[in-house]
Amino acid sequence: MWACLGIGLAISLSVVGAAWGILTTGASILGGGVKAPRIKTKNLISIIFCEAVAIYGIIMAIVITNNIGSFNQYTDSEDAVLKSYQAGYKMFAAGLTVGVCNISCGICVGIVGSGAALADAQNSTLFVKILIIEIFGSAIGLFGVIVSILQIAGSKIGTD
Amino acid sequence: MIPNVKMSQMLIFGVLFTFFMLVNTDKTPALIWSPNRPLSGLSPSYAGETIQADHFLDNYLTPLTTDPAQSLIVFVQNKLSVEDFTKHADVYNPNSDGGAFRNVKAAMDENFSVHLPEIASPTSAVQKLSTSFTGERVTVDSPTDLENMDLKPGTQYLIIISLKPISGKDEFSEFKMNDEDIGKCLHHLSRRGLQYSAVYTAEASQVSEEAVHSGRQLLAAEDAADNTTYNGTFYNVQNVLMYLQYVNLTITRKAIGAGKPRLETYQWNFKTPNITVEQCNDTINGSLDCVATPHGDYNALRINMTFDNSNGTANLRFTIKQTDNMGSQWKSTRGTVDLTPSSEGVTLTGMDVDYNIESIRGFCFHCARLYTKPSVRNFTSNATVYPSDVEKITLTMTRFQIEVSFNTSKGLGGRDFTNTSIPFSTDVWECVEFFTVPIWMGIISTLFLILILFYGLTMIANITTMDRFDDPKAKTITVTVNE
Repeated sequence: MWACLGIGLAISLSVVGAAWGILTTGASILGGGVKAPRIKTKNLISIIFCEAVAIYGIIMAIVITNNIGSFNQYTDSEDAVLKSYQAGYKMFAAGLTVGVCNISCGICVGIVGSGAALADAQNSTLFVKILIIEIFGSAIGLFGVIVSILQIAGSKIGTD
Repeated sequence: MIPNVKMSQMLIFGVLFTFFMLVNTDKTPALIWSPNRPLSGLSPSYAGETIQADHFLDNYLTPLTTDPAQSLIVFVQNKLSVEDFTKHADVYNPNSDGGAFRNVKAAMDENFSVHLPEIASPTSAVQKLSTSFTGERVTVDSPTDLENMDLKPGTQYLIIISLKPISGKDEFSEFKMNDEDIGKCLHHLSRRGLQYSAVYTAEASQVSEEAVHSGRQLLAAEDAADNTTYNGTFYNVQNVLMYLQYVNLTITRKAIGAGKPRLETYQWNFKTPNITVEQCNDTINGSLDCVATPHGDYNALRINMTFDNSNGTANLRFTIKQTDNMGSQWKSTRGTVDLTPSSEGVTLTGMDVDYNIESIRGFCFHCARLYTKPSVRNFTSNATVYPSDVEKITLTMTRFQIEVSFNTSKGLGGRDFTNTSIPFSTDVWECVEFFTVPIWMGIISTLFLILILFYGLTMIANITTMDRFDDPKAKTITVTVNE
């Protein structure tokens, strides 16, 4: 149960973050694009940064899923049973880590991207500067992925 | 004191209590009413109480016949139950007229009446009354016979009317017909000016017995390999009560070459057990001092069970100790198991085995599937296992129940098992806790999803109309519509 909850949280929270970001940025791009149509193509980069967050989530979910196996708490050796319980908790933690990191990263990139679009609509030299801020925001999602890979390393439910 | 209680309320009352009881085909309700004699003197029926036939005779039927001017009419059907009232008397309609029991309902509502929801074999009480009745006895098969009879008011009659049997094909109309017969009879009696009390009852309720599922079903044991209905055997062995169905021993050996791991399985049943129980005391250096003859003063019991069948012999030994000096709690300690196969197989000698058998005074221990503790599942020691390619050994006991008692001689409680027919205590210490792990898994996952749902519902509830650009002072927009 814990492992599966972790997988569920990994993918669902990441997707919520990405979706929220795309919502914010997309609304601004569409709004700004009414008066300044030139911003439309360039600002799709912000959308791609948001989407990357969702991709981190699904990669982690698949990595965690590969470690799930089956065990029998009544007949397996004590070692196998304890290792399986430990692996379950680790997977929950890994999923939670990547999920929460990605949801905040997604929201952050979304709000910054929204600002970038509106600033670009006013003054096209501002876009590149704001993009740097967005890259910093995107890096924190990557931190979440790295930490959760470290948590999941070597743990396996079941003995096969 | 139940005069004039509404029939529908009593029926619902009766239905609720019947629902919680295993229905016995001999228990039927009885409705008693009388237009002139108050029935408040009859003792009330308590909730869930089954009135026995003698009690019914003494407390209800006989008082109705004490007055020499008062007759007693008994309508007897073959089948009547509270469920029949629920199904056919239109009880859920506040303005109902009784459905198939219209005349009976009218009689119960308008006259003094009493409803007895459960009587065990009322017809035997009626028969007893009829043999001891001093007035005139009349047995009638149909209301037309009653019509033709000459009944003198002032004489005490006992009229037993057998209503048409309910066959079950169309119960509603059959009950309705019988009800109309009852109505006709009552009409005849009142026309002749007879003073009477009426009883409406039946021989049996004949409702199919529902299997009452009490308790929870955990760990449904597979009976695939067992075609006979052997359910386990109970033994009382020197003050230890034990019940066991099977002992299963499964040994997994390494696969030869590229095949699957080899399994050796043994299953012993408990039909002819070979158990010895020794009463032991702890010695100073921690070992046990055991004697085979019981002497009543012990703080540990060493149990030695031998299982024998054509596949092999196993010998299981473990000790049950009290955890304090009062005998208020006892636990099993690590034991050993030996296995001698009758043909080629794995031999075990002195292999450790440890179960979580524990309970408290006055309770027995029960486990549907008893597995060994994880700490003894590691079989890397070659000294006790021959040959050495064994990967896993599992020893489980199916449907195991045990009760021991300490300090019976000191009078500190504990049950005395010297009487060999004493059963287990009704209090059970189960090996599976009430909230099992799967239940918690379900609860947590469901709770999590419900939280998400509530978050979403909150967001939907916070949707508001965009009014940022509304200006109350500006002209309202009008849109002309061309028809």
